Amino acid sequence: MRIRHRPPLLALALLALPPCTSLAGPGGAIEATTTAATTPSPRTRRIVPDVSRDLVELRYDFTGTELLIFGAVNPPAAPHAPIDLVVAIEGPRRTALLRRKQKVAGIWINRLVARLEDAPAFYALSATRPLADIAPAEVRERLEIGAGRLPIAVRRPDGTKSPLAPEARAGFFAALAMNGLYRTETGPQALRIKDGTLFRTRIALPSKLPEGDYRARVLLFEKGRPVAERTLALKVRKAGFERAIFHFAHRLPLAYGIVAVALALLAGWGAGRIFRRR
Amino acid sequence: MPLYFPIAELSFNVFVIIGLGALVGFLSGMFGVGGGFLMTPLLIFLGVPPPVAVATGANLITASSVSGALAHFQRGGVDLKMGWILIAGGAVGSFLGAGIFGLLKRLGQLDLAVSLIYVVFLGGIGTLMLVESLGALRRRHGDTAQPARRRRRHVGWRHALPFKTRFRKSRLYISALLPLGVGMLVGFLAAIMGVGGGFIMIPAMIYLLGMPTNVVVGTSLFQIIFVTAITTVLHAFHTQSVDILLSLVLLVGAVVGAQWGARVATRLQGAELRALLALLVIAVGLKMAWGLTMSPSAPWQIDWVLP
Repeated sequence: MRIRHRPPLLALALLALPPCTSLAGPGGAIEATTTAATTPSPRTRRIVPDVSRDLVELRYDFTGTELLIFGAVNPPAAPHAPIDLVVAIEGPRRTALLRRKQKVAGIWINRLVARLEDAPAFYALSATRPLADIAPAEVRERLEIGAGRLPIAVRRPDGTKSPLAPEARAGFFAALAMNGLYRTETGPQALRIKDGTLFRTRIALPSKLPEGDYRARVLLFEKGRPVAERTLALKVRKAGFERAIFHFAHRLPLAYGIVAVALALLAGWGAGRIFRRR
Repeated sequence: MPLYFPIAELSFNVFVIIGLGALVGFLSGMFGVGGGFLMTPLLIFLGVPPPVAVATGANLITASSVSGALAHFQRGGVDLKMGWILIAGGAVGSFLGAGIFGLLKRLGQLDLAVSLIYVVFLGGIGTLMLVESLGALRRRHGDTAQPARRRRRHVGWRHALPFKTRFRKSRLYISALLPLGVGMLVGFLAAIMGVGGGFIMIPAMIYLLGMPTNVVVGTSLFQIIFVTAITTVLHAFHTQSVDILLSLVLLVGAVVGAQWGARVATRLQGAELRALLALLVIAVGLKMAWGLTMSPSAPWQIDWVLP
């Protein structure tokens, strides 16, 4: 797999930031503490995030990879200031048919449960603390943070609103999680704000990563209120020979089938000749 | 060395796939069978989505039947007229099979249907083979002196069918509907199971059509190439589930394995071999049945509606 690497130059540049705050007064770090304590001006605090790669190419040897999302909170917060970060990566949204296995006459049979519209094909979330501790439910609902609060329309197979929405949602994310396509990690191991300014989190991308346009949302909370949000775009796409095969199969299916047969005939005939010579 | 298979949308160690090809090739070389009925379930056990396992299996059988069919053809072991009728029936069967395959896939019941049909066929054929081979073993050890084979009985209804046709090579004068029907059944199974169908066709040719054994294998291989080719094209067209890369990598292993298997087979006894194969077939069938009845590790399943 070849990946366009973005050198974390930005992070290096941001490391140099704390001295810059001394523009406001002498003794940067101490100054920051006092400002946070006296004038909590959440409006002015910003986040400057970046992602280690904005293009993930699924090549022949792709077995999953790791995405690094990092950045800085500016101006820095005091070491124990009540600030929190949430990083959520969302895959492309599509319509999903959700089925559940049910036992019928001793055999497990799929039964269509619901149709989920605008369901993300991938969802990974890292947060500094459990989401419930970061912000109240109304806020999370409004910001659409967390698997349970994504704006997914759950419908019955016939299109009417499904009474099974919470169950279907849980089932959907359980199915995603089976393939490493859904993960929520909270706590300092997942995401930590270092010295009140620098942060980074690792997001595992599994081998069954779906193609499409992804976005990473980075949200900053201060005392339970959202103060800043930034969105980064990234793309996942098949590349190289595999991409060519996949697109050939889907765009020219008849020709693809004929080529598959021709290749099989040629390979089978060739193999037969090689062994008959011996 | 991992390799990403673009249609299966999975990454496997390339040596695992070559090894699987070699294993099935070895067994097919040793037992003289196509091996599709082992390849498809083993691919499913590895985690390949059943539609891809079936369609890719069909593609692989085209490749592994070519050289055998050519050899029989050059030796004059193919009844062409019979072959073309079998192929015509096979095309119709495969067309129906691929249609049902696509429908089941849309309904989300394909995995279940493939497993069920495999359980039935593997269980049934494995049991028959086991009974037959154990009987042969017992006879050889001289327990009971049974007559070698009962005379084939002429079933009345076969001669009552219309469209009687003369098949010179097979020295037969039978209704063309018979090979057409056999071909259809085999084509249907090829499309649903990703098999060549030799295990159905060869007994049907001998016992139902009454073909002489010297043209049975050649004609069956001749039909299998065309029917699996048609099946591959239909699956590629309907469900885009043929993985060229997967079938080529499997083929590398299968070709080598088949040569090796054929060599080992010369040193083993026929009845023992068949008993062994029967046990293997039953084991694969049981594993499939187990998968159907045990509590699923993944009760929820997502199917994406493609835009």
